[in-house]
Amino acid sequence: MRIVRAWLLVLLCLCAAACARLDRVTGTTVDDSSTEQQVLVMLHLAPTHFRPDVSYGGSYNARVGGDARRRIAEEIARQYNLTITNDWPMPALGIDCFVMEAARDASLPRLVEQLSRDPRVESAQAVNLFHVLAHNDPLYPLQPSAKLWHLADLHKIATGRYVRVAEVDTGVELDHPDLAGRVTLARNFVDGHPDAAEEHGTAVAGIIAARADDGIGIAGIAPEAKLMALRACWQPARRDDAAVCSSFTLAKALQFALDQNAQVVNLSLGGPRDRLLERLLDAAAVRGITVVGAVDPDVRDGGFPASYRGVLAVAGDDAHDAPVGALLGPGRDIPTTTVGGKWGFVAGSSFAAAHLTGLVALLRELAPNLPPQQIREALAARTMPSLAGERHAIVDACAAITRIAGTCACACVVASTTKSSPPP
Amino acid sequence: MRRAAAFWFALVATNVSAQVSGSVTLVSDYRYRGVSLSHNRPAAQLAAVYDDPRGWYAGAFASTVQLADPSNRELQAIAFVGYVWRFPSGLSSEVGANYSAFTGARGYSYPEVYWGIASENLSGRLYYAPRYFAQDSDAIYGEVNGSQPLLDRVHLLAHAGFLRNSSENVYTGRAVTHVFDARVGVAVDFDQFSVQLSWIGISSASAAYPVMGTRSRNAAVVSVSRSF
Repeated sequence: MRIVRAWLLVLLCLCAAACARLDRVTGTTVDDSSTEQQVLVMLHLAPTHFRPDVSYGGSYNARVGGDARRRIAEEIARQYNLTITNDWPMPALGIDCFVMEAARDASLPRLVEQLSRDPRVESAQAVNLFHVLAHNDPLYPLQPSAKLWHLADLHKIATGRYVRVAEVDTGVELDHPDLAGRVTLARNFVDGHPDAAEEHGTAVAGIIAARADDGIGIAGIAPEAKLMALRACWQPARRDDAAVCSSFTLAKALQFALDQNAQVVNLSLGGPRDRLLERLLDAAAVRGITVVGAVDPDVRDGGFPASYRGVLAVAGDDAHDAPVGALLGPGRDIPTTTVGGKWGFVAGSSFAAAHLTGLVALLRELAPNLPPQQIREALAARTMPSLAGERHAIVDACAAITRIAGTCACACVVASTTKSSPPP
Repeated sequence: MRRAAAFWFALVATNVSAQVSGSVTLVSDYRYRGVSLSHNRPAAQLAAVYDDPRGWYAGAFASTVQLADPSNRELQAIAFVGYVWRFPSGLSSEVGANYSAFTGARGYSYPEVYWGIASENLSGRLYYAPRYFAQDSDAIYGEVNGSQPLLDRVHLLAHAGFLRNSSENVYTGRAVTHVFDARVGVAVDFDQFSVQLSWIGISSASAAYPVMGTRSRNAAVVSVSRSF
């Protein structure tokens, strides 16, 4: 009997090794960027419950019941002449999200309407595209904006230690000298585009969490935060910094961030309103997660997700017409990490949002259970005049830290004499 | 039984958004709360579960067992029904009841109620049986289960259970009324198959369990399941 068990153990190890290899070889076969004729079809996902067949040990995950959902999805696909290309369980919403592709001549709005009325379908929507909010501008003078926040003084009080920050963005260069060891977890949620180090994600990561006091490069706002690099966006062209994301890739990354109990989520991107993403943002808000969203300067209300309820909307300090309620952060002449182990200067609301994400991580370290609304109030309580000299003002990091820590964060004379203006 | 089957099919047929899933399993040793119900021998199992989108669920599970007389292969069937709801925080909670019946050893049949709470990778459940395995005393069983993904298709599994039974064992006559059991293992998922290797241990083989069959306190168990 012992010999039989030993052989079974060997067999299982071989199976595990084969499976792991299978994941690497065939794990990414569907192109998430072909979104033109795709719809998201959500099916009900039952919560975890008693099942004797899952063994009395109760090991249970979203795969359980997956075959039943797959059968229903295949029936739906046949009925509406669709092709299933992908699926992703999202327990935070109680749904299993299937990506289905319609024929080229199919009317997507009509299809979504029909699917939404189908009693087997929990909800349905088209796949939207989002884009990162950044630009490089070599004409800006070299001026490290972080000095506005007296970063060295802030780091005497908080460095973001143990705070879980999820950066939902393009790929991050994990072995960049200023980021080495700073990313505790990296995942790629974009099928069809191999995982790669990309400009936008690497720049945002540097601002949030680059190593401090290492003699090179820059210091991140929260250099000891536990940064999760979740790749949900991709650069269509290697030399072009512009990047796009889809409803599906962003939803997968947000679900993962919820699974990992992220405390802060950075969304330096914008696009159209998206029901699936709204629901995930609601789930994040209920769990007390602070979501920081970059304001799209080309959209009056700041675009989505920045304008969505509960999201901390952040515009760059050069914004002339930031939406009401938006906070301003350093958004130009920002030195940060770039691909190839280099550093460069960037500008845009993406990077202003990254600053606020780092700052929220500092606040979270000081008060881990502080509700997002109180974090917002702490950030908006005292602001400094913006560079643009408009009605908006830059968040006063020293004042926010002082308010939460209950002690003077920076040189007190600075904090006490800083001009205070009412929140917009 | 026919009425129950008719009710089952009516339930499934009238609700198109409901889901029916299940599995067929071969296991090298059927360990129920740490005790072998298959006399340390392989067992075959079948299960089907109905999930209603409103939170109701019901199902049935059957396994070959070998109880009092190891020479006879018998069947255990568990029917269960419950209600589960999800909190905005992501946690879910459930209440339910099950009835465990045996062919050939009908004297062991017993009902049980349970309450549980679960997150995505962790669950805890408390069971109360007024006549555990048809004894004259009640029993409470509590368990905590965990599942941690290692790779996309590989999961680490863990379980810890505790049984408090207020009567002495009818076979051994011992009054050991507190028993711990534990399980650690790894599961590998294929498309429709799942292979699990587990180590299962129990604090006392002759403790508060009224069934015979356990020859060893610890066992390595392998199972292969096909889901549908």
